[in-house]
Amino acid sequence: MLQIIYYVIITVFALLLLANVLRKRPFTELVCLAFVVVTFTLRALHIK
Amino acid sequence: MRNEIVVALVMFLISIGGSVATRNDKKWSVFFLFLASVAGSLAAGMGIRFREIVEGPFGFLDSMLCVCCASVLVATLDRSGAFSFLFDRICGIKNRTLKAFAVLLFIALPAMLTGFASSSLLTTGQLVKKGCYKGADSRKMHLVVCVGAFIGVILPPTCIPAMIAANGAGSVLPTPYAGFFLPLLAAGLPAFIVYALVNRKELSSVESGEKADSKGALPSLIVLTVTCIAVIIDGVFSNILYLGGNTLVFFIASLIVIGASRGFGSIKSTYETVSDGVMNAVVPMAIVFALGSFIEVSSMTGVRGLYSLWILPYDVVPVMLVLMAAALVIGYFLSTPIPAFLITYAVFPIGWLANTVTVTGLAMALAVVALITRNGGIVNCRENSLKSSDVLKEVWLPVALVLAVGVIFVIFGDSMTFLIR
Repeated sequence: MLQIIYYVIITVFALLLLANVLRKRPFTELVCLAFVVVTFTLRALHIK
Repeated sequence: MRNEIVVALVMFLISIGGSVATRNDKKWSVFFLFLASVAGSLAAGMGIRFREIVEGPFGFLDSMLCVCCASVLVATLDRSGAFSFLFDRICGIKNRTLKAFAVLLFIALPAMLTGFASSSLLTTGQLVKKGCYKGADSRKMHLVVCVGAFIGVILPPTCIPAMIAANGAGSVLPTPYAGFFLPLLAAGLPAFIVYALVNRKELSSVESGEKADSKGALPSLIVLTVTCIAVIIDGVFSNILYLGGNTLVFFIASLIVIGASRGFGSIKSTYETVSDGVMNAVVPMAIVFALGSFIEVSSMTGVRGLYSLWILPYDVVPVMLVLMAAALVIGYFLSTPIPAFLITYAVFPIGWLANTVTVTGLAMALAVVALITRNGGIVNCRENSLKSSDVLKEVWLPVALVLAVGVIFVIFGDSMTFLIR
C-alpha cells in the first residue's frame, strides 16, 4: 500500500518536472532539472 | 602511475576547474559533477556507463523524495499565509529572550523541514527581513537570517548533509536516512541557543508590518503543528508507532493545506504553488543526484578500492578527522562537491558498523562548508556586497559550536548510541 502511494508521489513530481522542462530557462537550471527529471522518471517507470 | 589515480585526477580536476571557473556557482556544480562522472568513466576505459551514472542518484532517491515533499509543503504553507500569521503572533511576544528564540526557530523552520537553506531564505527569512525596524543594519539582519537557515539545515528532521554522509556508510547501496533525529537535535541545539542569546537584540526587534489574515491561515497552521508532532513521533518513537515516514506525512499535509485553503482560489494557483515547491528543491536535489553519479563512478573505476588500501594501516577516527579538516579547507575555497565526496569517503571506513551519531558528526563539516564557502555559500557575498572575512566574523560562533559537537560525535560516537532511536 505504502509503495503505491510512493509511486503516485514520484509520478506526480516527475510529471510536474517534465512540464517545467518545457519552459524557457537558463542552461544551468535546465541541467539541474534534467538530472532530477531523468532520475524521477526512471524510478516512476521502474527502469534501472 | 596507477590507472585509479589517473581516473581520480581527471574527476577531481574537472570538478575543481568547474568551481574555479564559475566562482562556486552551485547551479554549475551539477554540470561539472556530471562531466567529471562521464570523464572518469571514459578515463577508466569503460565508455559512457549510463547504468552507473543513473544508479548513483538512485541511492539518494528516497531521501530526496522526502526533501521534495517537504519543499511542496513549505510552498503551500507560505501561499496559505500560515507563515505570515505565525510571524504576526511571534511578534506579539513581550519577553525579549523568548521572542528571540521564537524568531530564530521561525527562520529555521522551513530549512528544518526541507533540509536546504534557500527554503528558509525565500519564505520566513523574507518576512523577518521585512519586519526589521527602520534604521536596522540590513547586512547584519541578512547574516542573522542566513545563520538561522544554516541552523535549520542542521536541526531535524531533514538534513541534506547527513543524507549525503549516510549514503557513504552504505557504499553503493541505498542507506535509509533513519535514526538521525536526536543526533541532529544534539548537534544543532547548542548553536541555536547560543546564537539566539547573542543576537537577542536583533532577533527581538523585528515587528510584523501588516495584520495577517487568520481566516485562511489558521487551518494551515494547525496542519503545520500536527505535521511537527508526526515528525517528532517518526524521529523519536518510530519503533513504537510508525506513521509511514516523513515523505508520506509531508505529502498528506500538503494535500490538507491545499484543501483547507480551497485550492488557493483556482486550479492554476494550486498547480503554480506545487510546481514552485518542486522547483525550489530542484537545485539541491540535482547536486545530491550528481554527487551520487560521481561517487558511483569512483567506486566502479576502483578509486574507492585504492582509497581503502591506503587507509587500512590507520585507525578509523584519525582518518575521519583528517577528512573532515580537508573538507572544511577545500570547501571554503571550492564549494561543496569535493567536500561532499570526502565526507562520504570519511564515513566509508566504518561501513556497515556506522552509527548515526558518528555519521552526524561527519556531516557537520559538510553543513559548515555550505555556509562558509566563498562566494557560493548560504550567505551569498556577491549578491549582498559582503566580504568573506565579514561573513566569517559573524558566523564563527555557531560554526565553532557545530564543529565542536561534530568532532565529539566522531570521537565518542560509539559511546553515544543512546541517541539513536
